[in-house]
Amino acid sequence: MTRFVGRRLLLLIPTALGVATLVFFFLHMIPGDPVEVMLGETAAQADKEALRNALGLNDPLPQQYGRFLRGLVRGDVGESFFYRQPVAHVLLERAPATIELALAGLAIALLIAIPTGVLAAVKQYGVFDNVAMFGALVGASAPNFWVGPILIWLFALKIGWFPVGGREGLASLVLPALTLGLGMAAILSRMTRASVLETLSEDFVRTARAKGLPERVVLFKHVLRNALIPVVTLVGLQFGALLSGAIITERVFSWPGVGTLFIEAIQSRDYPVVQGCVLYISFAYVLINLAVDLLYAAVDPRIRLGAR
Amino acid sequence: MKSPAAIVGLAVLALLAMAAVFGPWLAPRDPAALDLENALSGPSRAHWLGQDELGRDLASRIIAGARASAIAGLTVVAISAALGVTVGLLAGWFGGAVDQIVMRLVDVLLAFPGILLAIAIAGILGPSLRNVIFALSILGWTGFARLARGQALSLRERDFVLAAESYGAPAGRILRRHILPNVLPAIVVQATFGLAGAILAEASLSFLGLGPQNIPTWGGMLASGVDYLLFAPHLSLVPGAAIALTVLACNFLGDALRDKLDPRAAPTLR
Repeated sequence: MTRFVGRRLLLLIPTALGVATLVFFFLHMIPGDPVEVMLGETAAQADKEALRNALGLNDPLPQQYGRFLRGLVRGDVGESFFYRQPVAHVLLERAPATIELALAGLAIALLIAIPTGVLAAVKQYGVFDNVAMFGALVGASAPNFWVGPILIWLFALKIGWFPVGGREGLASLVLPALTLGLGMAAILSRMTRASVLETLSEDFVRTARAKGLPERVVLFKHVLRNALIPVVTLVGLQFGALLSGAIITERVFSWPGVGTLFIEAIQSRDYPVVQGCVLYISFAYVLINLAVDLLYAAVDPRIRLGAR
Repeated sequence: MKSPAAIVGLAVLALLAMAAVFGPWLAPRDPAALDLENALSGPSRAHWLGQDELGRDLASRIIAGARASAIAGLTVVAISAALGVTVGLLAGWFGGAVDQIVMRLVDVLLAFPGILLAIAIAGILGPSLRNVIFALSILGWTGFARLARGQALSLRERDFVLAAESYGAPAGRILRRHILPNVLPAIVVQATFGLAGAILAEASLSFLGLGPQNIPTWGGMLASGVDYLLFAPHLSLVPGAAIALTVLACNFLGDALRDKLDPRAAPTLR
């Protein structure tokens, strides 16, 4: 296990470097002049040139890239044009709101998906199975920015149970978390169903039944323990979708997280913040995937002892 | 294909294609014609889906919006599939350093969550259909590359490929004549799901104000409708339903195609 963890941690370095490099080159090769954004199009040419020099934008690209990497190692990804503060600082201020939303969404997704998936598998091709899986397909096709407004219209404007948006108290978390969780629940419940069905056909389940164990014990002690392993992986893989979904969900509900910051930064052409958001969200995604892989390996020895 | 879901999926996509191609002739009214006096009115005999905040006919705008979705979806999938399959086949066939470099690049690109990078690129390039397509294709090809590479790797050892090699067929010919036809079913399945993803992503970008500004888009209509949720919920509900229905149709079709063409694959959504 130690060797496996070590190898996975080492692999983290080239991946992180690759992500950082791609972000740098994508954002630097795209046309658009940050200096014009900061000073406005009407600014004097001399002022623009002076600022360009001060920001190091006239240096050769490799030199800028080196400076970018050195800064990154220190956790310094530049200063926001708009907030006039270090990007890392601005991001950290918004991160808790996004983490709160993502975790709440994930919790809702699991609470819906696992019982639904298990029940659908146990009663395969029954009425519940058909209805649930049709619902899941619809849920997986419905965009967050449609589900969100429907929930707002129904539960905030018509019934008035929850606020329309913002982040004040637990009530304001319910609708955004539900919006985010429903889409993920749709995908996870299909996966749970498939995984439970596959496990149900295993030999050890037949053995457990043959020795006369009650169906409940077979299901909870034998089937679920094995069936939920791939679901854990999918939760990890879906975390990227959850983070992207959070960007849009935050936008719908004016939730003051990293997603809203990101969109605001794009609109105000605050390049350092855009770059910082892409970097940090991607790094978070890479780390979560690593955590899932390690968790997976801890649960299932075949992974760490197998090929690779 | 007997599956009812597949037939529904095909029917919806056929409607979408018709709206995209013949939209200007099918639309009951000019989608850009203003009628400020009747702004935000609900469905009526003359305007069966109601009118938006500028009094434009919502039904006509939904039909017109199909074009942006169809163009973005099909172009992104075509570019992604062409690029991804070529790169993947070459990597899987030649192996070695080419394979290593390509697959590391794919791994790094897959490390970006969903449409984050697309939002950044489309945002910086400026709102237009061309930029949306560019931003979505940058990441879109990776899935196809991975799939094609895996297939090429396993097909390379098969007898019919070894036979072709032994009588001296050049690599390009083997890839085109022997490997590609065998990879195609899996690619078609992936492309169907890819179409769903691309249409959803285009709608997301348009919702965020990063889509084309000169033509109606479902995402853009939904976004402007959100401001009038209390008085005219249909302005955001209808475009959203159009997006969801289209994506659902692609998913239906993808599921059915997979069962038909690629029966070994697990029946789950990715």
